[in-house]
Amino acid sequence: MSEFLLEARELKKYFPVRRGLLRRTVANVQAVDGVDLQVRAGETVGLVGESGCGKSTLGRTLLRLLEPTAGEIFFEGAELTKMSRRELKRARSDMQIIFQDSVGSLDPRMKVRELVGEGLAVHGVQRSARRALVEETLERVGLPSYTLGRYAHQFSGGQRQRIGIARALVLQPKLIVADEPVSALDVSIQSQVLNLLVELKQAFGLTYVFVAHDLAVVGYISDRIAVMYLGKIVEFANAADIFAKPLHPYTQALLSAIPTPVVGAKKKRIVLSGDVPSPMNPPSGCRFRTRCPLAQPICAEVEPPLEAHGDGHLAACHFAGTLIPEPFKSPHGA
Amino acid sequence: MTALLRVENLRTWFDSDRGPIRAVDGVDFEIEAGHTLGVVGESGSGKSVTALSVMRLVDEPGHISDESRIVFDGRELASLDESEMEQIRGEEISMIFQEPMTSLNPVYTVGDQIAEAVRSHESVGAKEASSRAVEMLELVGIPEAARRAKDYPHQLSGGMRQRVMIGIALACNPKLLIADEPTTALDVTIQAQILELMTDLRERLGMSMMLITHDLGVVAEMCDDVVVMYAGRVVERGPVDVVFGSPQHPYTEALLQSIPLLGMTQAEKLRVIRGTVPSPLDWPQGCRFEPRCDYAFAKCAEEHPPLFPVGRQESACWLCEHGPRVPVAAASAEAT
Repeated sequence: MSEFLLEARELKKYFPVRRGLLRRTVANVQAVDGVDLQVRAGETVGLVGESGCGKSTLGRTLLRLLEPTAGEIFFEGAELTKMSRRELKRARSDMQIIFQDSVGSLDPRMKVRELVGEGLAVHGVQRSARRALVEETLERVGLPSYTLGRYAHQFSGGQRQRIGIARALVLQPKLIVADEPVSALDVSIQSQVLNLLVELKQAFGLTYVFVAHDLAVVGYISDRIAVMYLGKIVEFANAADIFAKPLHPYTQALLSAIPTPVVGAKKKRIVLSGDVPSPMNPPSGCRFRTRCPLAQPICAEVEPPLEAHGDGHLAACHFAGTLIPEPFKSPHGA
Repeated sequence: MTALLRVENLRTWFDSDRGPIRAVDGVDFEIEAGHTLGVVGESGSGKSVTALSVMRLVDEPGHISDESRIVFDGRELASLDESEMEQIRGEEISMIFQEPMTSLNPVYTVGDQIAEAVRSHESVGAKEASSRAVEMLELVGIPEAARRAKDYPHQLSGGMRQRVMIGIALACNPKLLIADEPTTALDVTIQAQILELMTDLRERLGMSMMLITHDLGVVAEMCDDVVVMYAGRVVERGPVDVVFGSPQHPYTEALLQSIPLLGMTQAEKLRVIRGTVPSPLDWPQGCRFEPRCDYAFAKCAEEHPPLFPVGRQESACWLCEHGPRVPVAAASAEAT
């Protein structure tokens, strides 16, 4: 048995772009393009990056909610990618997901009792046993039992997110993929949900894959962080190391771009030029080179592998560890 | 002190079947010439309606009450008629919004849209307006401006579209730019570009700015002064460094402590503000933050506190009536 609860090897997920009368595939959006990821039991791995970097696609592909284009996924040593539908269904009770959009992910015609109990029903839990489990779970996530007969629209955003968490939790999973679970919430509600996720993890020994664009939030909740850019992991390390000594220039830029509400912290910024290139046609070599202040000719020719730089700190850069001089302003005008 | 904009007792209510929705309910603030004011608050605090009220862009069933005063550059905006107000909009006060895609017209090129803004306020020919449009695109840092002027909004990325919006807003050199969540829809590296552009343009053009945001970090980096709004009212205001450095209002304090800072870990528990924001149909009678406040006492539920001066800042909390509030570390632990 593997030392990891979840492991992905060379995982790829492409979305075909079809055009014309014959709906021929003219290109592929390379949303996830060759990702190796290991998640140990009991840890929280954060996936962070900007829109279109593939973090949500990766989160979903890890659970085979999206069929991978290539690569392998192992859960508790068993190969998810080779499982039949029936085997997969059984495995799924151990792997759950929480979505960002608590409106879109909760059926408006179902009551809380049904929403939370749905997973139990699918996995064949008797009706009598269901009720107690649902009530217990609701209490765990901080919703009073009188809410059992209510519909999703009768709740605030924070409470709906608690329902989403209850839906995932009720099956007593080992792994939860949380896809931007607090991004739609106001800050005062965000802290309630983050604290809840931390409590639940400790109480049930859960393992999280936490997907978010907010590096401060990801850093707060994660033990290790994978930074993604254009479908690839560019850096993977302990959360503390990501903040203390970011090796990849993209991580450095990302960290320096985040405004912080601490007085006197007005720091010099690294402002990258341009936009993220299209994942349909990513740059050759290193995908970050078109925006990278450190780029050299080699970066266009040779794709840098994700390599260890001590203490399990992985980075995919030919010049890993070189610091971008701050403040950096791109020569093309910001 | 010269205030470019002074807002006093602003009340913007919306009529509804269930009674008036008191979205903005007695708001006071000012913006000094050349300064940037941040307006922060969570959803429903009334910050966007405040901005729309200053622009007089509140539509039926909303209305600004008669006792509200909006004094801009010595003129009372609240009583201007629509044609006079049109002169002010764009020429003296401009506004940009969160989602540039819905603010831009999809069937006109971005160059035409900037040129239109120029021609609606200045009597210039079509040719001159077009060349001004290209100049504006250059000013807001769009590469190959002459070619990009012929693009339609959907051909541009989110960051580029926001640059175009800023170009339109600044086409007539306004004295005040109101930006409502200008970077909320953007990724952080693009946000950094836009914030830098806005800072740069403010300095070059010598304008004042009102920046509406829920992001306290953006306020700390961009603004001189800050107004913290909660439930349709100002709960605290003052220079950003003192308000964030030693928040006097319990809401400001709780807000600052509830966000994870870069590099913070689970070992430090985040401050939680219990409950949710009350309904604007039925604000609490006394202090509106009272039901969620860890420091509340009897008076808070009965009487609404006015803004009390505390050094360089002001705080609408009864605990600040006689000077700075003494933070009670134990109080929050007891209350929960």
